Amino acid sequence: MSNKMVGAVLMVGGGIGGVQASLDLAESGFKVYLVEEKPCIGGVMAQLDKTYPTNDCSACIFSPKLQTLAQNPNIEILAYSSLERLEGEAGNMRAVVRERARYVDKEKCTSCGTCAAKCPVRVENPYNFGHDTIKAIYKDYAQGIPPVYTINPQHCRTFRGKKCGVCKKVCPAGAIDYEQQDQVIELEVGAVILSLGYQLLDVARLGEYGYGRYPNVVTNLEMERILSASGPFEGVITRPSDGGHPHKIAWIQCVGSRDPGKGMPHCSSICCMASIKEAVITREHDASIEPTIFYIDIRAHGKGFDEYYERAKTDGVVRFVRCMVSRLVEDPVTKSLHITYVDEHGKLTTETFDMVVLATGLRTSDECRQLAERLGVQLNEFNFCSTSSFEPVQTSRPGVFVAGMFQGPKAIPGTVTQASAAAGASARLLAPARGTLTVKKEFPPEKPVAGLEPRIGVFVCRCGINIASTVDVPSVVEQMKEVPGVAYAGENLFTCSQDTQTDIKRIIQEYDLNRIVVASCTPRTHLPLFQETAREAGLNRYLVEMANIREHCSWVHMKEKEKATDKAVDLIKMAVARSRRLEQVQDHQLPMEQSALVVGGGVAGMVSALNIAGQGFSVDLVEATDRLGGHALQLDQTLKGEQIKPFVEDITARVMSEERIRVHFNAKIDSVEGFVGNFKTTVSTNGGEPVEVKHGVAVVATGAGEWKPDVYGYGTDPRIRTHLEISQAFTKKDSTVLNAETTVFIQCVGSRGKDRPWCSRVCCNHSVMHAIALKEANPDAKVYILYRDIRTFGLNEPNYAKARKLGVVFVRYEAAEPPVVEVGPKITVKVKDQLLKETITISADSLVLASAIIPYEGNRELARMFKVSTGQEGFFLEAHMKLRPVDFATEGVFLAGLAHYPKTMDETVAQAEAAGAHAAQVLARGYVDAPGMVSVVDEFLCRGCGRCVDICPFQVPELKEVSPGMLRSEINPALCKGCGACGVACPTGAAAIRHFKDDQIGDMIDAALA
Amino acid sequence: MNLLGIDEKRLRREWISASEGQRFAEVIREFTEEIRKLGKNPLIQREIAV
Amino acid sequence: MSSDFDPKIIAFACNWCSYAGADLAGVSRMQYPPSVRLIRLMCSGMLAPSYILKAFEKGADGVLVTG
Repeated sequence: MSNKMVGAVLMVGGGIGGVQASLDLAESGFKVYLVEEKPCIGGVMAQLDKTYPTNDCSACIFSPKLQTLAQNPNIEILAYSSLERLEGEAGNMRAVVRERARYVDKEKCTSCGTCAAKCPVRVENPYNFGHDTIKAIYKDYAQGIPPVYTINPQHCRTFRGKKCGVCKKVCPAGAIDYEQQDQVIELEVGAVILSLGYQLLDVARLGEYGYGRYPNVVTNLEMERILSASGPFEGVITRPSDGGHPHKIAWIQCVGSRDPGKGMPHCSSICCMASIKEAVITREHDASIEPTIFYIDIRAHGKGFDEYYERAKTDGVVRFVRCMVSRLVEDPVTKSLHITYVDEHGKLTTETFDMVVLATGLRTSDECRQLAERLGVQLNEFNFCSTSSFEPVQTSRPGVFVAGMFQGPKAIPGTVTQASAAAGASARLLAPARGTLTVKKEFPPEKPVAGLEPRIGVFVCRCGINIASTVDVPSVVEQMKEVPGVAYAGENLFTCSQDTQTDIKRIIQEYDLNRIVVASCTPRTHLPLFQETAREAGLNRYLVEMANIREHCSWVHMKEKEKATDKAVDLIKMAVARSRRLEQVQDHQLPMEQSALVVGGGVAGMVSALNIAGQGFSVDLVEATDRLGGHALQLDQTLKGEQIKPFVEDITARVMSEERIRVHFNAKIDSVEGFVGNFKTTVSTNGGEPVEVKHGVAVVATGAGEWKPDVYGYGTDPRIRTHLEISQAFTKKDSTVLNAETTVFIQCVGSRGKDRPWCSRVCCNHSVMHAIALKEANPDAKVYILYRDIRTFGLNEPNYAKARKLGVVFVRYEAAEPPVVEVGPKITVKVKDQLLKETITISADSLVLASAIIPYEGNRELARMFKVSTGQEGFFLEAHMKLRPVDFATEGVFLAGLAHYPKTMDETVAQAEAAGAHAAQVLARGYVDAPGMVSVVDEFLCRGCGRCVDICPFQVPELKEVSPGMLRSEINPALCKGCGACGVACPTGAAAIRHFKDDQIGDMIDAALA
Repeated sequence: MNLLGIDEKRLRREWISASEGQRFAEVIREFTEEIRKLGKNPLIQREIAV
Repeated sequence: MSSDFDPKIIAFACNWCSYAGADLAGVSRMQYPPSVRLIRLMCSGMLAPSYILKAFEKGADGVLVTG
């Protein structure tokens, strides 16, 4: 390349996709410019109430990421800005960004809110869809980043030529600047990532279901705001027309989606689960509400989704009605809505609801399309960014990558995965320029606290209503003020938000605090955030303690408010007691083995390995068989119709010729020792000596199997095939398949049942694809698909429409009345058609069973070796289902492909790129952070008895002769895992774990029982 | 334990993994019920009696 | 024996296993009695028998050790 590589990336879009990619890139050694159109970053995820299938509060899981981002010195946020032009070639580009005038100086504004409090102009709040009001100077949400207010000149009196200027007068920081102009900024970058998000179809313009005219008809996103504690009604479910409490709420699915007439032939993919979740959460808020969901097919095609759907259904919480809604009219007096529909028995019914939620379809916005055109990035026929299944984050323009909804409708984990994949692809492109434009974060010196009287600050979190609706937070705060050593106690709406971090730092200075206790959620996710904040304020990280009053209290004692409050007080008192005893502890860095081990030589494993190698690190690839390719070798084409074989051949050749990759064929992992940075894995190859591989990180990409059915006559007749077998038959052009007069596909064979409750995700698409191929080859062939719900999610939906148009017959059956197969001269399939309510009999020549994708038996053993988890069903369990889809909870181990859950080719490739990217990110750091929470031996107390040597599971303590006959135990802090076993075994109390000393725990016990 | 005069039933050891939220809740429910049946910690009652 | 008192139980939990399990119970909103005061340890190997004795001495009605 003639041009020099630029070690910076322009990230366009500040939603969860943009945030994830920015964090990944900054961690990997690249400077990031994050451009967001709105005044604050956060995107749609910041507007959501809860997320499925875990019911995690969206703000709670997202805030730490936003916070980490805001604290990162290598990410520059350009909010209220847009990308205007992009010139140059991949690796070296010049971007022109326009930052719009806010009329508020972002350097001076402290986000105190005085301006908005005094502003005399009240306008509808678009962030809450007009369900409440804001001022002409505003911030979208309290925790918004950057924490800067913005004047809307359309509403501001000063801009409308009237006498005002109030905000300028009251602003204590002198930040208001009515003369401010747009700034045009030129940036040098090496790559660009587009994560532009989506918008809802404009239902008001279509006049669909009276939206816009009937106040009690709202969209899915409005419902999120209505449910949200920080929303217009503070989480109280409220009817917009009269402020009353609704009792019957209906959700109508597929509004605009799956409807070519509305220009939306695609399925929006997320609305079924979003509605089910909203219905479940609605009930959680108010158990007297009766939710009903009107749907065509329930598309619960992700990990844990079908189980969630079944729970909502069987717990009797949500009523599901499969129908098309034919009419919706408003009662002019009560403003309730009469919904007319044909029920499952074919009867025309009218029912009245207090409120209706429209599961409105999603699309790319006009602005996104215009941007794509300006950048020369191609869109597909559905106006989403065009990509291939084999390079799912590569746009048509080199150096420009895509992630998230802009590439196609998908849920948060898919967006996060693609974001990491796009970051990985950028990092690979710009690998030579890594670290050239980044700076290291500087901290103030640590304040010594040894010997000082404890001055403890207690921050009690309301967590919106998550804690405050059960625990009486003000009373807790009052009780804390009485506890000895507590110098400050206060409450926050969201303690994890950016503005609260600023507050905490200020309070630490103001009250001269030397310990802080945060009473909020689990330290497992949030402790690092508060540690960082404390460190920025000059406190050692280990002087922060948390009390978990959410997961361990408010969420599990929702019906016992008083006792929950008592328990919260106890938990915080325990934390305060412990914090009194806390001491400064220093972390250190350990050297790292800068190489990776990838387990599995299928598409996921190979793509991960190529990404890691492409970033300059060596890889050992372990494959159980004698060839690379895995199940992809048996597949014919992708859902987009791309041939799979050439792709697999290409990446296999690249793996084999890549000098940084060493492939172990016919290989098996015998044992794994060590931890991130220093793993030692023993690999044995058929007949050969086992070899020891040292590696710093690992990727698990072992794939999944196909269930061999014991139903529908499988195994008794060669004309009955599974999906993998039909793929191979197509590849071989098997005439008994291709020329069959009548073909029947049976869906959900072994999936979505008692033994295997999950949806195998790909089978509906796969069957529809093959049904189309059969019909196109032979229009006279009869093709039937027997299904429960057709799940051709996202951009695959048009295939379903096409199959129906070609004459493929779709027959819905109920799980309780499965089809019956009899094998004779013909294969007789009898099925009760749920539409006609009668049994039909089909004589078939070929029967295809859409058999379940199942986890391998060996997963649990492998999981044990790598100290990672599997879910109940046996697939590997990621660190967090929404936000960490390619990481394990165990540091340095990553996950890709079907080992995680069934997925399509493009999803597998994206996840593999992402896993590779995260693995390389750890390797690029070059060292491992070793926590200082290790064992230390007090040499005066140690008698050299050696019990610690015997008990240590990691063989760390050593007995050294310090003088003739005098033995002392020594513990290497670099090797100690901090398990504390030595401390327990030590008879004299010489060995103790820093940060978990006896008195620190003992005082907690005292406090709990005081 | 016995020396202290504490019924061994008051101490329970359970293995609960990260994916067993359900089991955690069940263990707490059961154990709480069992402790209810056993009554209050006798050491404290004795002190009160004195 | 009276059974309507609210027992106080001290529980020791390993950060990686049972503490995470307790977190999951919370996320899944599984309701259980507010009797437990959980103490987080980095590993159940850290648990000294003296902690258990101390808890009983101080009046705990039960002690739960979860690994």
